[in-house]
Amino acid sequence: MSLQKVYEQYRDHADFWWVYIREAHPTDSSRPARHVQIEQPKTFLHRKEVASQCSSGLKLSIPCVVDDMKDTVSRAYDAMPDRLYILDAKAHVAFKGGRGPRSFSVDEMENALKGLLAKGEKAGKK
Amino acid sequence: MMMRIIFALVAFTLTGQLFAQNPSRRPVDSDGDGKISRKEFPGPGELFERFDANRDGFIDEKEREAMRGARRQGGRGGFSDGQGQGMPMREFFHTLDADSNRQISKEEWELLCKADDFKKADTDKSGHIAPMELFLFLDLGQGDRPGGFRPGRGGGRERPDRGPAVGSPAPKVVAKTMTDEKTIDLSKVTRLTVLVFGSYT
Repeated sequence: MSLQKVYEQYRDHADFWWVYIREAHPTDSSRPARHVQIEQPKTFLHRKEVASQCSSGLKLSIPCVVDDMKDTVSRAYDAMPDRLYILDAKAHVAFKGGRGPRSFSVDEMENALKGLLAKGEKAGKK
Repeated sequence: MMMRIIFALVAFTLTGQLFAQNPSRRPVDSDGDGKISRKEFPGPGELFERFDANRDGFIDEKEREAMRGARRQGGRGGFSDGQGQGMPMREFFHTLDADSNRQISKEEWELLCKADDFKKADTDKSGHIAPMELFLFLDLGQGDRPGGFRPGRGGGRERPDRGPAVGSPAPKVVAKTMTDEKTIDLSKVTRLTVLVFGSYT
């Protein structure tokens, strides 16, 4: 399932944040991406603009937050180049996906999310 | 610790040549004065300086003994963690050298190592990295952990994962929303929250 579909299906049961982080393969790197030509943003304003382009380009409606220019969030989560996490209601890590691109798996995250929601419902009934 | 191991491995590759008893080989100490001068030394200058501990311009008997010790250690050699269990340097070179032409091209380098480091490692600017350049690059402490080894691609080890483990508190970090720059504290969520990290490329 695509990320957008997972978001649409579960948005009423969980919050979603898409954290826009440093470009992995910008044009000014040694291995620029082929599908899209993006220069590595040098300012936060530029980074926001690219995040916005990305959001529409990938047709993602997940609410977006943008990492700062020191890549604080990305570093804290070791999230480069892409990665999925789920935090629980007590702000603890409940699911940690593998690092992309090799270990990035939406299905794995969705299964974990399903499990966590079921667990939450069970606890709620008790 | 890593410097010492790398030093040992570099020594290992050279000392076989330096101390070979085989008379058909050109003796390293060609003038027979019991010391190896810079001119007689078969390796690069940087390496000579490492072995020439007292900086007198010669590798004397005592320094040669230290090299022999380094060679013995090199036999067990490990690289990366100082525990003697890492990937031996020679194997690491072969892992990078995908087409086995005894040179690491830029493309081969970038499969496992940081792209920016290629220029630093390619000291003779030849556009490829020779075994000695790799050894020296690591020896100079520039590539403390070049890139990340990935399992299944040469049998190396993966870059350590510094992300928070399951069960640990969310890191205390904030990010600003794309639209109105509202600050969101990601360590204070009160609902199940999915974080999707990514960029356009």
